[in-house]
Amino acid sequence: MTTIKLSFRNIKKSFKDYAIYFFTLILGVAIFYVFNSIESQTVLLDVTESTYEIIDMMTTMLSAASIFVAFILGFLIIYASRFLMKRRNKEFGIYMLLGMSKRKISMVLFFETILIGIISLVVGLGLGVLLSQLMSMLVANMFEADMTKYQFIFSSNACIKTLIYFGIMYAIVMLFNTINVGKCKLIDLIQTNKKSETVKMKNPMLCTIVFIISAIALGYAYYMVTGGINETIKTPEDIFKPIVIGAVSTFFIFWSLSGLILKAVMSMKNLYVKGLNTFTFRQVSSKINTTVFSMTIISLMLFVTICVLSSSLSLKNSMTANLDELAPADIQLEKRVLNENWLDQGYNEEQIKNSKEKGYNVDVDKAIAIGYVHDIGKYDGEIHGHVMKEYNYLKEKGYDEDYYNICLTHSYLNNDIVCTAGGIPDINENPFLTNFIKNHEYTIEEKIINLCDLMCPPGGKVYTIDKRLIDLIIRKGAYTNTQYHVKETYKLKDYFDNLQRLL
Amino acid sequence: MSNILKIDKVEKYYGSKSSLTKALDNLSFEVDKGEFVAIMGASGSGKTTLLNCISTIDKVTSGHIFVGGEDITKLRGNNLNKFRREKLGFIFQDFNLLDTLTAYENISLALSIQNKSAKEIEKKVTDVATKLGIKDVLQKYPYQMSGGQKQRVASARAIITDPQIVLADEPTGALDSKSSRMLLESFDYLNEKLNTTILMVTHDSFCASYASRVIFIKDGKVFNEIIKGNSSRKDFFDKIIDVVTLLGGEENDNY
Repeated sequence: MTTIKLSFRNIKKSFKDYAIYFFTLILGVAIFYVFNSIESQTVLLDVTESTYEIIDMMTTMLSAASIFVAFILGFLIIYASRFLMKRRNKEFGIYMLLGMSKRKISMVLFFETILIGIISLVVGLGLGVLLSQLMSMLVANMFEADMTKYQFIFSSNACIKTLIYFGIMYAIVMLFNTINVGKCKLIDLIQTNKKSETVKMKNPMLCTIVFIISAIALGYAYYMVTGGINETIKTPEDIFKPIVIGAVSTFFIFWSLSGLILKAVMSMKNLYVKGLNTFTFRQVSSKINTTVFSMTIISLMLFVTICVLSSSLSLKNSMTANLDELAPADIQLEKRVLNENWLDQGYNEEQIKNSKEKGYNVDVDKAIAIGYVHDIGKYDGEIHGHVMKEYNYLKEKGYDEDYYNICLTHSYLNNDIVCTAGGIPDINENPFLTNFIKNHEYTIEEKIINLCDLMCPPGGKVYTIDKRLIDLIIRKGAYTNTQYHVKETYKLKDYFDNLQRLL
Repeated sequence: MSNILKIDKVEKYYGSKSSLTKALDNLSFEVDKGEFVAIMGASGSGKTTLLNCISTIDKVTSGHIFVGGEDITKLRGNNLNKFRREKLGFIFQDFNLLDTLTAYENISLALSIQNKSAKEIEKKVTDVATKLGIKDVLQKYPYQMSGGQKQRVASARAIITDPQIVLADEPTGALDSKSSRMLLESFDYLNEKLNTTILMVTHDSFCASYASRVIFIKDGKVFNEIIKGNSSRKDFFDKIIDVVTLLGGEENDNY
């Protein structure tokens, strides 16, 4: 029976007994790996740069969180293994009585820890790799990334980190075990079961006083961070005061709680001797007494969890609300005054879309479409009379009236056939056209096309209105109605400017 | 010295400041090689404490204990381990076998700790197992054995290292009468045929009658001592009963 074989046997038996312990270990390893492997999973995601920055921030925070988680897990594992060791006192007593040196017993424990470590790391990492694939899918889904390039990823960086961290933790556990074994006296080990628990009962009077003081202190600490936050928290370092006061007073509350409960209950004599109450109260007090430290830690941890959870939720809500306020439109455009090189590609379409976002009932697609067809009469190069030509053309083709109307309306402002560029038309030449323009109620899509036509010269460029008007004068000449036309043009421009400002 | 064990003016106190108990009060006696000695006494008389001190489970407050000429109260560290490994065999009332090991491995553990070779271990274990009649349970685990078998496995473990003295703390305490008899007969065999020195603590007169000498302890002091001599076991048993009656019969100490 070599030392290793002995360790092996002990582990085999342990599996059934300490299933929960193993489960916790495996889960801890898996979670640690998953958190740290997110970075290499996400680096392959196909997202925009701004999204990538966000993902980067997320991975950094997850790495930091994983350290915290690992820290807590470390405590848990050390505590659990100490508890399990205590259960095996008698076994160690037998070893010692058979003449095994304490060093050899430590070796047995050493091999046990190594075996547990190896098994938990292997299984945990396996589980972690599987979970990380799921996690990467989740992240990709969250950021709407391209999932077609998905492939199985194994993060060796995270793997090494996990191995190192858990290796250190198991080393610490080993250290604790060795120290504990070295401290034990043989008689204590052998008689572990026979010895009854030493119950240290505290002075009830002292407990009451301590409880009252701690309760007040805790209340003050809470007050410091809620109602009185403006008076007490002046500098960032001040936040530590309520934290420390809160933690210490929590500890003392638990410390004095059992004595206080007992005193309170014992004074109610009738209640105390009823049924099993005596036994129950003593048991509860004894439990509270022995677990003061763990209860403090647990309640403080719960406190931290609740705070972090609620503050992160409210932070998220306020950030999204903020974003909504700062960027109400999907697309925003700026107009730079006195800059003739203002070229915003597809201004027409963009502005049309923008109006739609402002809540005006603009049929964006229709506006774009009529924008395209409004000069269709020029298809054979003949400009003169192209207006009626295209009107008839589209009408014959069976288009909706919006589409053939634009052919007529796009050149004339202010419901006046005279209000146009390139000369004064003869109002009697085409009475139909004159009356149509006079009576037609311009839709907002038509007005947009009017405006756009007054910004776009031939050749697909975009000018300021001023430049376009000059361009018209250069190409078509200045006439007596030019001033009228120019004035109406600016009126139309103002109309749209006000539209934007209203909202 | 021809005596294996010598208890020399041993005193033992334990407890805390609030409750101090004197378990052993200036106790002295000797045990020769090859003797089978029983220590009898009522509960609380200090016999288990005495055994704990001899086996180094516990420490004496004052006095000396010599085993094979060596003062074990002065042993520390590795010397102590060596003593426990080589010179001592202990049998508990509740067997204290390791659940994770088979009977064979439990017995061989004592030798493994001495780093003996596997061949030697096998030879010795089968040898002892045959002598104690537990050869067929060697591959079983403790939970699969009866109390009597377990105690015999424990006894095998205790003697396999050829210790100078075997200490037994109420070995039949957890056994029924048939198993007790079998165990005591094994002890008899060990003592007569293998010349093992056995020191047994018991409160049972029947057990004590198997010994060749009985020491009575009351309140941490030696009260009486009777020797079997040439009498039969039954007669020795009667003699023991008489002393026990004396021990328990009178209410006051001065009789």
